[in-house]
Formats: sequence, C-alpha cells, structure tokens
Amino acid sequence: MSLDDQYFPATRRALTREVIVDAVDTRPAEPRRVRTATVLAIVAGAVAIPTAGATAYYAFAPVEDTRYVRCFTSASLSGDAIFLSRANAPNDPPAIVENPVAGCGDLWSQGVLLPGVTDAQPPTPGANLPVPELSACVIADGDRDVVAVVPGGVDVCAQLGLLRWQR
Amino acid sequence: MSASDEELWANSARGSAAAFGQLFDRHADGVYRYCFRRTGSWSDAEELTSITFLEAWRSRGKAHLRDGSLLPWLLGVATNVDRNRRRAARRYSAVLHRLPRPEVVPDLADASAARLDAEITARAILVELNRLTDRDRDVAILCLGQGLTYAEAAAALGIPIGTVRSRLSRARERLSSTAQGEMDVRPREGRS
Repeated sequence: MSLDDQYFPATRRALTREVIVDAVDTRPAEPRRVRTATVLAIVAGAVAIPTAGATAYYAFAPVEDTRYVRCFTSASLSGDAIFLSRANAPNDPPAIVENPVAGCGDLWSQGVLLPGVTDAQPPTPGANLPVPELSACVIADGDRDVVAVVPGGVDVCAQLGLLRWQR
Repeated sequence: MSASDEELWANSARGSAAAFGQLFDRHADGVYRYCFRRTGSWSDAEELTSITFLEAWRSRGKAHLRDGSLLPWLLGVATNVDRNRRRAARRYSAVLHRLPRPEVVPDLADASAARLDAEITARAILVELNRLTDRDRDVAILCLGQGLTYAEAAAALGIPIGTVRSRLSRARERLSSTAQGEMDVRPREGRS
C-alpha cells in the first residue's frame, strides 16, 4: 500500500493551513531572549576603541557557528529576521558564513533585503543597490548564540542591549 | 534560498506563525499519510494532522530535530496525539470547529478509487496492528509504514534504538506476511 502519491487534498489543505496559522498567530510571541546577564559578565573583557576625544567601550561575544546568520532589515528585533546561509552545492549542508556583515550586505545590494521589510524579496538581476552601514551583534536563539546583522553603526548592538559579535 | 527546518523552527520557537506555516507546507503531507496509516480514514487523518500541528506549536520549546528534519518529531507528536485524541480534540475544539469539513468543501480527489482502496487496505492492516501492544504498533507503523530509520523512529518516540529494533522484531513476528507486504516499506537500516 504505497501512499507516496497521496496528498492532503489541496483545497482543504490550504484552508487548514490558514486556520492553523491564524490560530497560532493570535498568541503572543515569546520575547526574544537577550542575555543581559552575559553582557554584564563580559564587559570586564571589553575592548577599548579610541575615538576622537573619548574612549568608547564595546563588549564582544564570540560565536563560532555562523552557518545561519540572521539579517535584520531595521535596527529593531521586533520583526522576523531573514536567514542567510551558504552552501557549496545545492544539496550540501550549510557552510560557515565567514563574513556575516558582507553576506547580509550582498543581500542588501541585490535588493533581497529592503529597509523595514521582513520578507525576503526576489533578487534584482544586476542590481547594485546601496548597502546601509551594518553591524554584527549576538542574540540568543533557544539555548545557543547566533549572529544577527543589524543596520546601524558601531553603537547599534549596545542600543539593542546586545553584544557585538566576534569570531 | 530555502530555509532549513532548523531555521524555520528557530523562528517558530520565537513565535513566528509565518515560519510555522512554512513548516506546515513542508511536512503536512508526511504527517497526513502517517495519520492515515494510524486511523485508516482520510477524514480522521485530516483532523489528526491539524491537531498534531497545533500541539507541535504548543510544545515548540521541546522539539528535537533529527538530521536537520523536524518530521520525526512531528510524527512522535502525532503518535501521542492519536493516543490521547479525545483530550487533544477538546483542547483545540475551538480551532477544529473552524476547519473545513469534507462535505462542505468537496475535493474530487476524495472520490478517487485509489483513495477508497487505500482506506479499505489500511483498515484491514489496522485490524492486525491493533492486536499488537500500543508500543509495538507505533514502531511498526513508523518503520514499516512510513519507512523511518531505526534512529528516526527512536527520535520520534523518545526511546533507544535498541528498543525500536526489539519492538519491530516482535511486531514482525506477530504480523502476517500479507500485512507486512501491504505496508510496503522497509526501514532504512543503512541510515540508522
């Protein structure tokens, strides 16, 4: 009894999906867990970066697994991120993204990312769109830390209550 | 660039209904076929699939992906939901009430001879499967029906691989060769 060619009937499948997504969407999203406690613990090892007339301190956190990078389209964590992953061949497992800022920057350049738009757009062939200033921060995702690339300058991670990323 | 199950689940766990919808698109048919094998009814399989996804959302903090796929865990959720279907149906009665009923939204595929034949065959197999213990039956349907590897079945049911092997061995002894032949699929031992 092979059932491989049997599918959830398309009409009811679509309606069922709509009802289920609507049902779960009415529940409040879990707050994004930002590790403020970790921020405090790591500040002691912060790197001093000399600036004009003052010294600013930025806290960094290491994340080695950069297979899945979150590209945000605004300096806010309230919307969904667009995931960036890289594979050497279509069926290969995701590879490490060596430069998350450059990777998300490429998506901005191709028009995949647009300011404030939380859905990925189809890339525009030949596009070379302006890329905003981007910074790599660290967010908690479940029980692990991941890299989030956010539009903004060197202060944006701290403004969001996040650590800056370092490999 | 298609998001992986891991990525979609991470977003779902943070409350993204859109990501959860994509997971539904990806796995609804697999869950549906499994539910059909457990119930012998396409109609019941639809309801069980719906409850499974609602329960998966409720339990989204507990998911374990196996080799990057959410499907084995979803089949485990479906197994538990089927065992406790009345309670689960009560929990989601408000949502289930909104689901389309077959008679309200007819689908020509329902009338196909293949689907009717499949129901007849599945019910005949269920007669034999119901002679097994619940535990042996779960393993038999997952491995012989769905073609899960031992490791995937172990992940789905939250039991050791050795337990899957012994339960499957016991189920094979008790199922007729006809029923095993009708279930059609063999566990993919090489990937376990």
